Amino acid sequence: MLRVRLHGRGGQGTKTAGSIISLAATLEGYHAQDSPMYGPERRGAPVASFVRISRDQVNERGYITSPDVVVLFDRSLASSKAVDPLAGLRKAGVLVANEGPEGTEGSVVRIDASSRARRLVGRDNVSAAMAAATCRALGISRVENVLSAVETELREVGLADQDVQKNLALAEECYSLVPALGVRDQDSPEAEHALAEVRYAPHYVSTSLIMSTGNSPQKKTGGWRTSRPVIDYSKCTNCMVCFVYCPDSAIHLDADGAPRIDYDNCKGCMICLTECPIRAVSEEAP
Amino acid sequence: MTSAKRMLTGNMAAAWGARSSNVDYVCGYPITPQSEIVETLAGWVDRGEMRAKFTNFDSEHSMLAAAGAASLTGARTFTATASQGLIYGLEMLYAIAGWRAPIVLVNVSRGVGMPMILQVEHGDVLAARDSGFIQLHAETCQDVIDFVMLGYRVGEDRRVMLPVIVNMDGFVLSFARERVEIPEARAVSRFLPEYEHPTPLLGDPEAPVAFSPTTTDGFVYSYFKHQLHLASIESKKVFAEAAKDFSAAFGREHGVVEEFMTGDAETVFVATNSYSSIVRSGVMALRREGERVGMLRVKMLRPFPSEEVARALGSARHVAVYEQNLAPGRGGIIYPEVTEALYHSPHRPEVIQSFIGGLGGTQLGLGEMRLMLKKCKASRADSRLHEPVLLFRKEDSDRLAEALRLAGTAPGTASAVRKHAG
Repeated sequence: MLRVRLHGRGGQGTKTAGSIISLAATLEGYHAQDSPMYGPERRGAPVASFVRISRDQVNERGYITSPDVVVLFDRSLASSKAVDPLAGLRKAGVLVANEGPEGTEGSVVRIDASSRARRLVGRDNVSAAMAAATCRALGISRVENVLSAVETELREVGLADQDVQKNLALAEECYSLVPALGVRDQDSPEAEHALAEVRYAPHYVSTSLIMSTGNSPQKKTGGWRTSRPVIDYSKCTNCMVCFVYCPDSAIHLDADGAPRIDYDNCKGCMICLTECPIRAVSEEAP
Repeated sequence: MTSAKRMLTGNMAAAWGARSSNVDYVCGYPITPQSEIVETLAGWVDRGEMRAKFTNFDSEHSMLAAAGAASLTGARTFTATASQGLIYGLEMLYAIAGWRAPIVLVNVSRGVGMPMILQVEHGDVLAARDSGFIQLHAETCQDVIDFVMLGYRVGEDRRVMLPVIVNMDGFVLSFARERVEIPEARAVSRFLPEYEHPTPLLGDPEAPVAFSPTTTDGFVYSYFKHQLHLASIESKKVFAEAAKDFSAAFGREHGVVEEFMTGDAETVFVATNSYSSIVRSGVMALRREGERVGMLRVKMLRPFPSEEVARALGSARHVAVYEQNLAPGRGGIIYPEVTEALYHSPHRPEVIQSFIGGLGGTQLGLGEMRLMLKKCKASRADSRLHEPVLLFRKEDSDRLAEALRLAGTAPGTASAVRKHAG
């Protein structure tokens, strides 16, 4: 069985890519199963999806903790301790990453899917690109079946004809750029997990209550960002419009009255960019 | 419609089950992780792809009242809910069963708060176990579509006339896609005759009928309650007939239980629902290591297939009952039912041990399977009481400790000590 785990951010096509890979595998006669991780979904928040591919019936369910392949949609997640995308990756495992410079070293495949998607599709949604690259690297599907799966799944999520066509071109290009590494089927099951004993605890522990009030600042929301607003202080007039409009109070005024962005918590909504009357805010990589 | 294999989620399979069964009426109310079912059906009805009436209600209680009443008029009725929604409508489940209204309800299992959770636990569907509904629990997305059709066939049989719950696991099955065969319309029409209520509500204005009047007499209540029990028992026989026809029409076998490698097994794991897949792969892995293990998967939870369970477990030395529910003060809900079935068996296993796991979607793997096997082997036949064992991973325990620390309730943390000193 091949176990594929995909990590990305809400809106990048992580779930759809999983669907494309599994459909492409079934078109080649494999048994496959795909499922997304569900949580408090938000655009930009880390998400994951899972694909199992096997010659026999798939007898595993739920999250994949020891994948053969990790597909990373966003390089900024690589260093995230909360996401830890490489956790449990098997020794002979493969990483397919959306980043440049492109090339394959050992079991790491790098493809700049985002740039290619922006050029060919006009937006940074890399579901078709990453799915095609992954299918090729795994050697599980011929290009015609990958393209057929891309078409089916993108129509399923409601993409217009012209966008489907652009994504097909993108998928074909990405498929051709990646070598077939041919990851070997793993017979061994998922890693075993040690168990703990649960004892009865005093009331304040054993009741689901929160005593440390005001702890929400400990949850840094900056990790949800897909774009970073940057203020050009040579233009900024300290008019405070961005400070007023920021919906998350992630912009404060320093001692001189200049706006400062709290990147630990800025979610990258870019409302400041939209509202800045003199265009002193630019959009950069997260 | 022709027979086609497609990648479908469990939820989509449920919607296709209703569509393939040519239901006349769909009652909906959204709740995670079920909403995709009623959203899909609403879309199909709206676009004219499905000839049915769809009504969105103000609550699960009203939704179920309407579903039962519609079924009594002779409309094939479908509905779906989950968790708190099923519990909110629980009163109506007893009414629908008492009316002998053969609806099919898909429950997408989700833990019942508190704490509030979206992921799977079977406390919801098992709270409905005594309502009179037949219960079929699905392992795969294909099971979901099959059980909806089997549900109508068995429930609407004049010898039964009972409502049916088809259960699937929230998230693990409801949002997981697998290759599913959507049945061909012609095969469906052979297997599932049109639904006609024998004495329909609002049927003949010259000969009106009323269902379930209030009674103050115990003998009346007692009689009809017992009839409900007998109808449920009768449904097992009807299910066997229906399964035979199902196999002829669609080529898939369904029994009230499934035995996997139980023949020479010393230890048999009892499982239900989608985690049965994981137990099956665990059994295969342990077999490769030379362990004589097997699995009994209970598909029909009501009526409880005691004879089939006793037969399947009769030659085992150890039985490990793995279940995803926890009745506080009791333990697993299925464990005593399995134990009771075996009590009257001439070949009672030496050990019947209860294991609780997968609560809120926590995972099951080979580590847990190995531990269950070890506990069963170490357990002595004369040990006084087989307390349920909670399967809880070390890494989850560590994450819990961190959560308690953040909440300020970990033993010895400042706020805990401050507020609870003395």
